[in-house]
Amino acid sequence: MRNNSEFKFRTYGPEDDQQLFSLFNKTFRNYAGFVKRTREYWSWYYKSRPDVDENSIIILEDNNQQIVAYAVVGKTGKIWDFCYDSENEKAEEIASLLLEKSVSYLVENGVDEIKFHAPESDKIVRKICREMGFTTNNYRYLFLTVVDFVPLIAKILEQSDQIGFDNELFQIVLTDAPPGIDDSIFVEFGAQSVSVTAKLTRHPKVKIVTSILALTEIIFKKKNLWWSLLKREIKIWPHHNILKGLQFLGKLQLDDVWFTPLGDCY
Amino acid sequence: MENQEFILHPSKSTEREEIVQLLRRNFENPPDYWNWKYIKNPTIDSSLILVIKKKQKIVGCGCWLHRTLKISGQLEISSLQTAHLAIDREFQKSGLGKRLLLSMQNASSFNKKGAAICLAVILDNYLYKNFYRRISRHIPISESTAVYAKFLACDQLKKQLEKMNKVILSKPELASSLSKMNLSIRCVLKGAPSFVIQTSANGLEMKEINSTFIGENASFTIRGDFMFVKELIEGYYGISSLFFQLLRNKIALIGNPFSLPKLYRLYKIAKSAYYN
Repeated sequence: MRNNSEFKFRTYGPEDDQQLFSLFNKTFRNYAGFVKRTREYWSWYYKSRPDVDENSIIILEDNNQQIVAYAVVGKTGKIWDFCYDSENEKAEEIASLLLEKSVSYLVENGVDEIKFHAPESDKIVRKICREMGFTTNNYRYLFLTVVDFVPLIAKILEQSDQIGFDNELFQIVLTDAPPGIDDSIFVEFGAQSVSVTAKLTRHPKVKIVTSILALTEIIFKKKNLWWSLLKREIKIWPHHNILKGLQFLGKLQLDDVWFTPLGDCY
Repeated sequence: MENQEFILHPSKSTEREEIVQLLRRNFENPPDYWNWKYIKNPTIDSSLILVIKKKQKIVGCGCWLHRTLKISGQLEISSLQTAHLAIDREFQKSGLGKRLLLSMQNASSFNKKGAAICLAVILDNYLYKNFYRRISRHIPISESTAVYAKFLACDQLKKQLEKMNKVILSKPELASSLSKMNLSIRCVLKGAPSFVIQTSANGLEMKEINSTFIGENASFTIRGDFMFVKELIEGYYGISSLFFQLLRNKIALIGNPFSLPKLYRLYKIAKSAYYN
């Protein structure tokens, strides 16, 4: 273990909570999948985990006693949270110290497997993990389904800065909606507002026919709109409104990159 | 929605202990895990646990947790996270899991707390393709999350091989095919200790090797990444991905090319034993 006079490790105390939440929220708030750390969530989901005790929360602070990194290291070998200040000019050194300390803690506890998550785009973690003999892959075990399109689409459009439609009514028909689930979504753009509903009697200007799977993949940007149209996974009527239909579906697409810490998965 | 045999409804808080017993029967987790997740959990909501009963006994359950999740920019939405889905072994493959998933999606039978999406960690690719994707239209979402792993010993892999051997030995045609193969595969993989896998009449045997014993008599040597090989067996990659990785030099396979059909046969047996 390297010694470093600028940073030092110390044990966790409840007075650290606010600094830990701030560091986590600052580091990961730009990722989709972000669950804000709150006292209630942290207390149960992290501190009370059966494989975590107060020694398992490793804190690294600088000379000004500011927390620059922390890890919640479960004795089962899982590093539930691995978080460091990526904006610090010594970010690589900080991340490296934290990982070394976490690994040595786990080795002392006799684990045979160490695992943790980091954003794929984090080149610092990738580099130090390569140096420390870690293997890596994309996490492919987290899946998502839409259980209700109406509030989801309403929220997406509420957040959208420029809607670009005026007095338009779109209908999305889900061909494979199981019994009990609405098979239509109506989106009506007024002069100033948007309303999303499952039931409407008026005829839409643009009708989009698709499946639940295709619509989910479109919203979460797993599918290219043009490609889906060519493959007839989406059909738009009338044909002269195809571009308008695609423009509408484009408004529903979410751009942010997903990241889920290991602790949030289990 | 029920047939006469099974009754599905949201659970009551008094049923929590019985639900935990069902989960213990169906998952391998230590008792303190269940206490943490279901008994001491301040965020758990009984109305988000669906139970299936047969003659008053809980034989299946689906448990969801509610959380607020950011999905883009400043956009936060109410969501569910699948905690566990369990059906007692004797009632599996009778459509009960499908009922649970569809009921979760059906607003009229399940209090979704206004949730728009539902997340699930699904470790089994076969289960994902044939159950979650087909029934509840789950899509993978986390490819931008990297998982970093380091295996300090091969105990987990040994346990997995023991399970697979039980399946292989229970099927005489697989066992005899394996005993005739006489293959030994030396794996020198990044992120794990080196080991040799040997086929025998007892199934697949594994031995960790050190740098002084390099297993020079092995039929094949595989060099590459442990996670890739693990996920190849788990079915996340097809055999075409293996060729692609070979071409990209991400994985190396050294050995007698005439023994490749045997190796392919071993791969098929291992995969079928893994999924049994």
